Formats: sequence, structure tokens, C-alpha cells
Amino acid sequence: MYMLRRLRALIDGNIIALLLLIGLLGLISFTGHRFYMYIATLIMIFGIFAMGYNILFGYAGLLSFGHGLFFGVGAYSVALFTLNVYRDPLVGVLFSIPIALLTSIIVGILTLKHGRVYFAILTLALSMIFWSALVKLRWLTGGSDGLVGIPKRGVHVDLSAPTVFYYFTLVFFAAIMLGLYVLNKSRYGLLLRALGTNEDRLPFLGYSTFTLRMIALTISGVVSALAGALYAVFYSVVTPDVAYWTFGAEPLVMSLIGGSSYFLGPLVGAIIFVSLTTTVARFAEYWMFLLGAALIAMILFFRGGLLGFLESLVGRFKLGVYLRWRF
Amino acid sequence: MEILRVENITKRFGRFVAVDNVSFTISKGETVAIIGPNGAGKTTLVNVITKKLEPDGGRVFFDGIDITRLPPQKISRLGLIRTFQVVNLFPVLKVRENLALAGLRAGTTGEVESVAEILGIKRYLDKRLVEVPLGVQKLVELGISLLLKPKMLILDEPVAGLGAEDRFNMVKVLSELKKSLNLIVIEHDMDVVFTLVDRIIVMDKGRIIADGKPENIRENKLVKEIYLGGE
Amino acid sequence: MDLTSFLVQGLINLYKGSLYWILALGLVLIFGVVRVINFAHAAFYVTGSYLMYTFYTYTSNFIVSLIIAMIITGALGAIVEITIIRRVYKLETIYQLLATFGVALIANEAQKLIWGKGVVYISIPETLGRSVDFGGITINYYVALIIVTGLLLFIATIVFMNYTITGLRTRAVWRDPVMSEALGINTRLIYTLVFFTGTALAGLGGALTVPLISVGPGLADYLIVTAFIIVVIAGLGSITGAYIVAILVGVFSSILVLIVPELDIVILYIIAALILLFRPHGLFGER
Repeated sequence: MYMLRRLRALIDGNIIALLLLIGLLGLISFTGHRFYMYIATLIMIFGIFAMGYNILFGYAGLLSFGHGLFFGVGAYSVALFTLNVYRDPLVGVLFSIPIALLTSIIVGILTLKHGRVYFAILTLALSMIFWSALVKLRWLTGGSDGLVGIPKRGVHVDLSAPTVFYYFTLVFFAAIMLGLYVLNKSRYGLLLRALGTNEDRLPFLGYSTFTLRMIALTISGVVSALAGALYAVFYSVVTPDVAYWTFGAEPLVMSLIGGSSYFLGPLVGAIIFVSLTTTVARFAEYWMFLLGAALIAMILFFRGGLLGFLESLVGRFKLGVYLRWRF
Repeated sequence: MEILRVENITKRFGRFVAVDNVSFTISKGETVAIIGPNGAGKTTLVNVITKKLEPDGGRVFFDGIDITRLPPQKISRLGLIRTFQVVNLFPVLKVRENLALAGLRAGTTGEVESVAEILGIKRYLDKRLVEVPLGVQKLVELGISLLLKPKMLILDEPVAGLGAEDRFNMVKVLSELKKSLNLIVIEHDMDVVFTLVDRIIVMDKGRIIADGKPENIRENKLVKEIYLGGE
Repeated sequence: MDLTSFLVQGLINLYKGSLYWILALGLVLIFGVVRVINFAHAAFYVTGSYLMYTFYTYTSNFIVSLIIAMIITGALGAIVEITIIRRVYKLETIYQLLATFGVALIANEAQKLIWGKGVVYISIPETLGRSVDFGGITINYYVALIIVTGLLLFIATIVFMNYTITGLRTRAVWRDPVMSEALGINTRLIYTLVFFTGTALAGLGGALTVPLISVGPGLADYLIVTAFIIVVIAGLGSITGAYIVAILVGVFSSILVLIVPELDIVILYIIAALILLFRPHGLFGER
């Protein structure tokens, strides 16, 4: 009886929407339609990036301009590992996890003791340091040309066939999304949400804000790095641009577009962002202009992002009860 | 047996001395009220004790331990819990979640429902804190404090902003509480103070000007002067 | 390289520092008084460059083009403040940052739309291109102009802030906007004026830069990081600090490039990160 109640509490509109999406993504592979699969793969990769980013931004309330650092760490660790140590993409992607963990902890120790504004600027600086290093250390990173030839065919897996790679990505996507969902519902999810809501009260409840911030950063960093790792295998090429701060601003924009206060917000934002950049951008060359305008409009009028806007239309009852976890 | 000892605590903001060389000791079982006009330094004193602010001088001992150098989370874990004048919780989270935050830390999540029951706020558990009336919010503050298993509870104006009925409820709850833990209340409502406490500390302009039993304080000339219109 | 020529190089690189200073000054003013972190600041700097390019190409008059570029950029800043920034004062800092970020995106793309994706460049005008010899040291007039402009701006800002009534009002708003409002100071007007001035200064810097380097898309993205870093190293409230740090950055980055070429860009970021870690309020900061 108790178990059933626990299970019932776990289920809400988010998981249903998520499962539907995963199902839809799975179906796309059956069509064999190359372009849709291409877009879907990018959606999954950037969806992971944005959702990972939002753990720090939307939940814990810390604005970071340096997530290109984590993405880049993920991408380059896969590249360096598969090209120099062990030629297998799966192992390479898994290898990026401990590297990302280490990076997150170091970054955390360096940056998390400061206020939010300094944190934003420090992450900006750190990501640019990483970018500079990637460009300068030619002998290791290939400099501005980057690293090429990241293998899809390895000792344990062969991802050369598009459908196979697609499923590979889908599995990671599903696992990460479900993991984040469980996190959201868990005690840590609650703690992180509290962190973003009223950080100052937490020490008086006996919590260390530094520790909580560190947890948020670590999860965020590792997930973002995984996105980078998948990206590297997908394109077989990595370049330093992914560490430039403007790239790191993309998951921020995605989270805002979708609504950073909603569990699925960043994913929705990623879907919109990727769809627009791969389709419309070809025709409207200066779509960034519209993006800037949309961003401003959103900050002025739709701070809840797309999901927030939908919620205000449909009313709190339906959408709100199911998707919203905070205002 | 002393539970809280404050020695020569001073706090300055620039040239303004908010708390001026304050010392006192509280014994186990004592229920104390700190009263005084606005700006007397009552809340600042509590902020220094609980480390929301750093003292400029002096020491604080809680349950025998020197907590002067400790950060707020450690002080909280030792059992010295305080509430805030203005409800300072997590408005977008549900009442249940607010309480759970305390429960998670102290291992008392199982008691969330029973505490809510005792405080009479069980039916608000699944509402977001911001949607709930002020009286209930104050009870949630109290509930959180209880779930943290305090040895001493410092309440900053627990009945401020409450109507007569809520006030009555709060006092009833506090009267029960004081039997099992040390209570310090900062209050302006004299009826509440006289009903509840064994001892009153009066502050004015950062200093303690009187300290003793309620009957004595009531008769104290100095206090009467300072308290023009205090009731 | 012997010591004297080394020092001379450093001295000449004061111009780089001066340009960084002009860039940073506007940012410090806007942050100090209006309390907004203007992500679009470097974009305005580059706008000044583009405007200078256009007007100079048409008029061939350096001073006139410079002034026009400055004023138009300033006006754009004022317009942005009135239409957008004003509405985000009441919101959290994050949203203000993001709003200016949106403005930066728009500005960058607008520049591409108007001037294309290529770079622009003008040659140093005849009169200023000449060099002067000071006993073996050759200094280019233009470089001297920049250094002098930077210094004058510093002096002017200090004088303005401390010795004029408007400066006093501005400082009042800087210290305590609520109180200033209560005292009858027109804070709204001051916010707009400061935005105008800060942005115009950015435009000035950009305009002065065009004869020195090719300006193109992407420069703003790069410069904004440098600008933030200078301001943050100096300490978010300090004008004098910003001047000193900007000069040092300009001078030392050039020198360091000569000694250790590999480190040029990284060194600034590393120094910034180190300083922030140990002195989060910056070297001269008050907050």
C-alpha cells in the first residue's frame, strides 16, 4: 500500500511527457529519414546539455557563463582517449565521466565560495582559460583546428551505422533524463530547489550551502560533459569553439526559452533552439537578431519561458499541477 | 546548569554600536523574554549569537561549547535553533516540503505529519507556503524549528502580525514547548511575555538595562520610562 | 632587447592600456551608478568603431567623425536604457544581465546586417600619423593622442565626480539611490545620463581603435570578457582602480607577449582568476 503511494507520488505530467518524447524519438529511427535523425540527435545532445546546465541555473540559482568548459572537457577527453589510449567510443564516453567529475570538483572549490555575480564572471574567465589552453597547446589538442577522426567503430561497439549511433545516443539520453527526473523528486532535488529559492536560510537549518552548491555543480558538470562527449563522437571532430563563452551561453538561452522553473523547460528550449538553428537559420541568416529580441521580450514579459506562457494560458490547474515544480 | 552564556558581546555597524558589551547567562529550563524598544539591538544580538552576523567582540557558549567561531550550520546542528522576524522560508515550495527540509537534516522526516498535526496545520501540508495565511506560515516556522530537535529555541517575534485567535494558538503551543526545551522569545506583546516567561531581559540602545522576574521588571522605573507606549 | 627599448615599448603600450581604460570606464560608471552589469558594453564599443569607419570614409574629417560616432553611440545607449533597462531595474540581477546580453546579441547582428560580416579598417589620418623624436625614442602622434585622451578622461572623471554638483548628485545616486530620490535628486535622469555617457565613452574607445586594428564581428565577444575582467580585478566600484588595472593590463600583456608568446591571452584570464579567488572584492574594490 505504502509502495503504491510512493510510486504514485513519483508520477506526474513530466514523466509522462518525457516517456512520450523518448518513444517519439525512438520512432523517428524507424523512418530512417536521415535529416530527422540528424535533428533529433542534436536535440538529444543539446537537450542533455541544457538540462544539465539548468541543475545549476534553475534549481540552485547559480548563473554560469562557463559551461562550455564542461562540454569541452567531455568532448576533448573522449577525443584524446579514443585517439591515444583505447580506441572505443563507448569506453571513451564513459571515461569522460570521471574526468568531468574531477573538473567539476576543482572548479567548485575555486568558484563556489563567492557571491553569484562573481561566480558568473569567474566561470566566464575559467572557460576562456580553457579555450585559450585548447588553442595554444597544439601538440596536445590540435590547436584551433582541433582533433579529428574520433572513431565510431571501436573495440566493443560499432556505431558507424546511423541507426546504431542514434540508438546509442537515445540510450544515454533516456538514462540521463530519467536520472534527472528521479533527482528532481528526491531529497537532493528538494535541497537544490531550496538552494535556489532562499539560500540564506539553509545554514540556519543546519545545511552547508557550499556543499549543496558543490553537489549541484558536480551533477551539472558531469551531465554537460556527457553532452560534449556524445557531440564529439557524433561529429568525429572537436574544436576549441565549444569552450568559448558564447557557446556556453547557449544552454542558458535554451533554459530561458523553455522556462528554467520547469523540469522539462530546458529540454523544450533545446528542441526549439535546435529546430530553429538547423532549419530557419539557413533562410534567415541573421536569426541571432531575433533571438536577442526574443530574449529581451521574454525577460520583460515571459519570464517563465514557453512553458510559463503555456501555463498562463491553460491555467494553473492542468498544466501547472503537472509540470510546474516552482513558480 | 547553564545552557547559554553570552560574554561581552559587541556588534558595531560603522560607528553605530548596535550591541554594547552584553553579557548574561541562561540556565536549563528557564524561559526568557528579551524585550525593548525598536532598535534596541534585540534581533542583532540574536543574529550575532546564531552567527548571521560576526561579533566585534566577546564570546558565546552554548551547552558548554564555545560557538563564537562556528559557522551558522554548525551552531544549528548543536541544537541552537532560531526563527526569523519576517517569515523567511521557501515560499514556492509546499508546506510539506518546507518541513521536510528540516526533517531531512535532523532525521525526523517521519515526524513531519505528526508535528503538522500538533500545530494544527495538517490540512495545509500540500499547499505552497506562499498560498497559506500568515498565521499558518508562522506555525510552519515553528514546525521547522521543532523538527530540528532543538535544545534551545530562539523565537523572534513569534506573534507579530497575528490576529487574536492565531496569537492564542501560538501561546498555547509555546506553553507546552517550554516544558521540554529552553525558549527565548523576542517580543513586543507584553501579554504574551508575561504569560509565558520566567525571566525578562530588557534592552535599550544596545545594552541590558534590566534583568529579572516579570513582576520586578513590571515595577522597574527605568523600564517604565523607556517603555512609553511600549504596550 | 635592452632595458631602455624595453621600457619604451612598455611606455608606448600605454596606449593599449588607455584603450582598455576607455572601455572599462563606461562599464564602471554604468555598474556603479545604475547597478547594471552591461553585457552589451563591448558591442557599443564596436558600434563606435563601425560608425567611425562610415563617417570617416564619407567626411575624411577625423574629429567630426569621432564626435558623431560618440554621440550616436551614446544616444543608442540612452535609447536602450529608456526602452529596456528601465523595465528591468526591479528584477533580479540575473535578469538584468540577461537583458543586456540580449541587447548585445541584437547589436552584434545589427552590425552584421548593416556593415556585413567582414572587417573594417581606416588608416591613421595624415596629421596624426607623423612621429616625433624624443632623443632616440620615436612616438607616433596617434598613440600619444590616445594616451593623453585616456589620462584626460581619468582626470575629468575624478574632477567631475568630486568637484561638480552633477558629479555630487551622481555620487549620491551611486551611494544610495533611495536616499537620493528622497532628497529630490532626479535619479531617473541620472540613470539615463550615465548610460548615455558610459556608452558614448565606449563609442569613443571603439572609434579610436579603428585606425589601429581591423574591427569585425566577434571582437565584441572577445572584448567584453576583457572588460569584465579588468573591472572585476580592480573592484566593481573603483574608478581609479579601473584606470590602474587597465593600464597595467595593456602594458603587461604586450610585454609578456614578447617574453612568453604562448601565454598572451591566457595570462590575463589566469591573473583575473587568481585575484578573484584571493581577493574577491578586487584590488581596489569597496563592496
